Amino acid sequence: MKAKLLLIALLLLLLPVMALADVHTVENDTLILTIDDTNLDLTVTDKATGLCMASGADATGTGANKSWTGFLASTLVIDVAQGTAVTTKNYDIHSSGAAVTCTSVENGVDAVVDFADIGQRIKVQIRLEGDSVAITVPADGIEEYGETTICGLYLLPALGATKLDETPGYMLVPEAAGAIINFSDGNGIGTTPFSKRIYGTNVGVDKSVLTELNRPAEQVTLPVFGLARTEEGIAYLAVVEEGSEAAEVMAYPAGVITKFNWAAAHFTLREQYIAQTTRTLGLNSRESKANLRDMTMRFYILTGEEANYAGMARRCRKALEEQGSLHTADTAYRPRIDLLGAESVQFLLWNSVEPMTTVEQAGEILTAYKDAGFTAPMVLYRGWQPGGLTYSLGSGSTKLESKLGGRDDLIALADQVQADGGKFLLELDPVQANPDRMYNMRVDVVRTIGQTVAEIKTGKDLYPTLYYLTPSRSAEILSAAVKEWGAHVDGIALTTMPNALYSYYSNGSNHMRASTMADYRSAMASADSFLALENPLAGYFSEMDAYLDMPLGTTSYSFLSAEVPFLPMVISGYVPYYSTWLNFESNQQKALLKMVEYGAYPSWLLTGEDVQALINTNSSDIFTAKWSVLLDPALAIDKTLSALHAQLNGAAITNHEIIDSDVVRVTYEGGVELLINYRRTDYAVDDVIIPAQSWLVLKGGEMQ
Amino acid sequence: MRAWRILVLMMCLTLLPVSSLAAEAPYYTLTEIYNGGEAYSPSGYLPDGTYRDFDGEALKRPADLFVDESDNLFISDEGNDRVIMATPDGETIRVFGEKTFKQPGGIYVRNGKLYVTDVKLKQVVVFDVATGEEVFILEHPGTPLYGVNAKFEPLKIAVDDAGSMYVISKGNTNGIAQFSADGTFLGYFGANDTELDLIEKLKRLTYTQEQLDQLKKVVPATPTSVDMDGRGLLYTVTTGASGVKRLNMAGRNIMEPTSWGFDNTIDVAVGAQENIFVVNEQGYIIEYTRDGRTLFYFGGQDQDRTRTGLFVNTVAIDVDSTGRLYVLDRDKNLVQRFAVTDYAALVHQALALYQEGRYAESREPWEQVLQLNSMFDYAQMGLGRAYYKLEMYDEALAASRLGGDKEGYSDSYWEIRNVWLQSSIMWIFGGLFALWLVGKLWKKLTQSWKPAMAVKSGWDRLMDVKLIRELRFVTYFPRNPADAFYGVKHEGKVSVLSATILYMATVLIYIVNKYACGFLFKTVQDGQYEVGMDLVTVIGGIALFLIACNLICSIRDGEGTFKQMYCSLAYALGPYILLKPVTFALSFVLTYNEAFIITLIDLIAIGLCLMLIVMMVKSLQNYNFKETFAALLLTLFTMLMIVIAMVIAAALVAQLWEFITAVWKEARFYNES
Repeated sequence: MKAKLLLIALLLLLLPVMALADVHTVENDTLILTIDDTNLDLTVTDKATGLCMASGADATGTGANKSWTGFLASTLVIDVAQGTAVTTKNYDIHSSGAAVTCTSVENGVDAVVDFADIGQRIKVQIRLEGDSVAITVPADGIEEYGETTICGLYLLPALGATKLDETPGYMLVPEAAGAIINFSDGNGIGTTPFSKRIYGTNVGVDKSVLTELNRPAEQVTLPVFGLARTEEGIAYLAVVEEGSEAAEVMAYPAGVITKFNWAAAHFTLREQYIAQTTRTLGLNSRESKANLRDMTMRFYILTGEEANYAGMARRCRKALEEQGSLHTADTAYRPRIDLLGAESVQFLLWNSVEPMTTVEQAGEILTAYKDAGFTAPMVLYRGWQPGGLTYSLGSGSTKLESKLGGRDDLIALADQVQADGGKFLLELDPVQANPDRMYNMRVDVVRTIGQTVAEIKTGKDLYPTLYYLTPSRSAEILSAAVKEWGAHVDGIALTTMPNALYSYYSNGSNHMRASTMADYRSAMASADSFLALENPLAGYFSEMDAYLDMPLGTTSYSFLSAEVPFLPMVISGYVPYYSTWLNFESNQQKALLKMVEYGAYPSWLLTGEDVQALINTNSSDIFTAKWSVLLDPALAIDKTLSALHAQLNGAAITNHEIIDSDVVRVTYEGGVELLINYRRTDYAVDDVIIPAQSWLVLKGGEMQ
Repeated sequence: MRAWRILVLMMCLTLLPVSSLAAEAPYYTLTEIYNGGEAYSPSGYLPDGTYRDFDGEALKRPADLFVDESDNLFISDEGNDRVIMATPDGETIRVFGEKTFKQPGGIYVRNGKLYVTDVKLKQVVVFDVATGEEVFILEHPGTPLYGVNAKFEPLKIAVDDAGSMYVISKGNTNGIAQFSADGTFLGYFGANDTELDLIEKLKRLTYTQEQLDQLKKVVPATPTSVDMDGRGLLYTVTTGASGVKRLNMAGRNIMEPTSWGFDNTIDVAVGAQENIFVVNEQGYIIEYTRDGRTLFYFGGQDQDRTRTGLFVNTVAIDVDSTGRLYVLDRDKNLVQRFAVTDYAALVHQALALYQEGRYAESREPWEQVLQLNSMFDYAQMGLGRAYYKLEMYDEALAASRLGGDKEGYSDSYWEIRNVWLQSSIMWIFGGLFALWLVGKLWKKLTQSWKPAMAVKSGWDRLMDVKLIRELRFVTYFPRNPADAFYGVKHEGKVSVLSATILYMATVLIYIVNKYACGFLFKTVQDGQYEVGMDLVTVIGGIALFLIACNLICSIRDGEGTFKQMYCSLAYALGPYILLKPVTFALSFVLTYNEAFIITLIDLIAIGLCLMLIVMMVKSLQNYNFKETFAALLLTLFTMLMIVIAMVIAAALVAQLWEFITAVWKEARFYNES
């Protein structure tokens, strides 16, 4: 009742404004969208509650300069460079005197924004569709008629932006499996925002840099972000629907440059890169040809119970369901065991092979684990190709390394695993290539936009760099592997391919990341096999039967307020997802709690031989993996998790709440609730006590 | 209504501040393995808390940090002219000297007193920790002993149990100034040494007095930081000098050089087990055992200034009684606390037992450590020592081998060999006697028994084959070099083929011995091969000598030809070819107790080779000794010149190539854009 009154009052208030300015209003069952003809400022209002979000924030008088004030107020911001210059400058509708021409269409407007001073004309389409607002700049919508070149653009960068901590809430960022950044009071937040390429670094333009000891940052695998004004009860989930392959997600807490909390996606149209002229020097350059494609942002408006990160995850899941990007796989609980077959070593002047787990040993190990009571696992055999794990990269060989055993032995092993109720997969990296092998460097190996061979630094002594193969070559390798082994094993575990996305130069032209992604997706689709994907990008979810290496932590950015299982909420119940190897966890209990919270299944890397043999190889970071050493810890975790998942039964996570710092509640389909306490002391909630560093399972409010 | 309440509750819940992250380490951790190598390790320390604000004010250019015996945290906050006392969780307890300081720097707490250096005040100000009152001020001692021109600008301080103060003063190169508790100057302590590099030494040898006067004075560097352990030993680190110094009462360094270290160490701290922590300006942290072995190497640079647990400009480190580390970042204005992981706690537990000599008790924790990190040599070494104590020599041998502990291996092997020798001595003597007997018998048989005679004549014929005869000639050289070289020069007793075979044997023996000799005498790490480099060194060295020597001899009226030189040098290397296999075999059966035998044989081989080379040049070129040595010295000089010329030529060609490709690429780039 109150809400309806509010809505009427709001509409009444808006009436005079609508009369003065030329305002387009479109509405549907759930939302009202009003767009100002003169400057494209828009407001989206939830009909049921009367709550609204505006396209911009008024930063005048807050200390922000003209450029930032304009940025925060505008629906469209472009960054352009003078001629071939590398540095860019932002131009927005409000402060750059852009002329806007609007045409009404059925559910929105088509607009042309003309930045006459710099000679850029941009077509913008704004649509109200269901519970979302979509804003698009079409591929043919950019006209450069002056001396400047467009390098990138933002669409609705400050939608729903809030000032300092005036209203409580947070921004959701797609960091690892998901994280939130609370609205800030502007103090002690530092000077650096969250800003990351969607789908990770691009070796085609980014230089591979290793800082000694630094762990590489987690990748952004989902093209989404969100902003929730929790006290008001309104939030949006933003999905970069088109053009995400060359875009970054940004989240600026208040105190970083301005006093506003805002999150946005930046679409890149001309990449900056180093044109290498000598081994150490290069020219800072920009692509001469713009990467023109449709660029669409969709903002799902969420209110009430949905106006939080859990609601965003539910909406994201629904969107993927609507697109048919998620398909149901077998989610039964199976721990994952990776067996390292052979690794490459150097002997005198030659490459040699260090067998770590022969096929025979693999059989013995799995039998020993089974006899000890280990649940039938999903087994991944890695380093099985001739030459061992690192030297075989790029070879494309589908044979089994002779020191590991014979083809029939491997088939028998797969049969043994299947007979015990497990799955047997061969791990394959069809993308990375060992530089010690011979290649057709012009055709098979990825060259950067700067036309130098892309080199990936490994940080290891034996093979300090690796190459990437071109998508066509990778597709051949995948298809050959499936052809050779597809009938005998359960499937293929793909590494590198699902998470390495790059643009590259070939045959006189640049190929964009979107084309690489399309090529990879088609390679995976045509493989027509069970595919377990290592930390896959969202674009490959439709091909995924199991998710490997679900990140259980973030990049430890100081500005993150909490880690949340956004990604697990999106895919749970559809596919099983596995943790990274637990061998290397310094704190096993914390890792176990995290797996319980995220619903992830455990993973172990095992070897038949002592790992000291790996010290001079590219796997020198494996400091514990001997199967007999890890039997007890693996068994303990398996027993705990198999008991838990017997109650959850592969169901989806429907809700997640942070009850207090380090205490969370996870709700599953069917009403099972998990209360997880990371603290070193017991915690009481709802008349139950969660023991320290432990969890409780509740069903219908009753402890299980 | 109920639903509404739940909704409000839910919204409130999601608003609760969530401060602690389930943080994984933002860095990899490395550990030292034998021969100074590196291996990955489980994290020893994880970021556990970050403190920026104290008493309602953010840190501003903090300068130093100290943790006292009660685990209270003291921070000298230079930008805010204060020293903060806080709990380990960052709760402020007291603020000192807000009206006193101009630039508070180094701090130290001992026996309830807080000592703060202030470089601008030129004082050390002492406070009572309990009351916060100023109780003493240390200033320039004013005595000529301190130095007439020496300033007192204190930067860092350490204090012993008796209250004696050890002060590092800015620019004072005499060492650490020691003051008694009442402020009397007692003298300087633990000055650094000056070190001259080769070029500086050459300059000082060759320059005139005038030039020498213009040279910069080489003065010892002032220590950068100082700390004191529970036994009252001072530890200093100095920017520009790797490692840590542990000073005894006389101010002498009693710490062995460490394999790992930084050139820009900024601070040092000593933990409960005398474990030493150092941090450099970039935020890399090393934990050493008291013997200087690296246990953990972690931390690092925060390139984009966003990551917890990485640093921009570190200035101080300290450790509390539970082993937690506190690191101060002057640029990010924060204190970062690190918690000890279960793994590091286990390592420390085992180490404590091991260092106390309780080897047998340390066995179990070492075994647990190895389960978590099989690459950790130090644990294998500890385990080896434990097994040795328990007289489990086979296990000790295996563990020492894995741990790269050559001393331990040698001791265990000695014991095993001893047992074997005792049980087998009769068999050995019996065997030797049997061999002698067979030899004698064979000799008899070859004189009377036809089949034996046939075998012998066959063998003799084989030995008389030209190539084999030539090769056998190698044994004649050490016995009668002059005659042997005469034979090469005038009688054609060797050929190019036989010499080439000997060269190949030399290379082969060198490589096999280097990579496959017994563990105790091996100089390279297992599994690491530089065969390409070895080939270049040995073959290149021989070729270079031959060319240079031939050049020199031909302009100094030598009579020998290149072919003769080529053939003779191969035979001159004969002693190496004949004796090295012996030391190779011995390397598997000898321990360090008998290592001198191998050294002696090696010396004999090298001595004989050198002697033969001298004789070779003398005989072939028909020189007297004086001419021979002159020719050899010139040969060495020519070799050096050839190497230098080749390096320069290679660099020039590379530069030229790079220049041409750069011009081409740049032209193409501008053409395309």
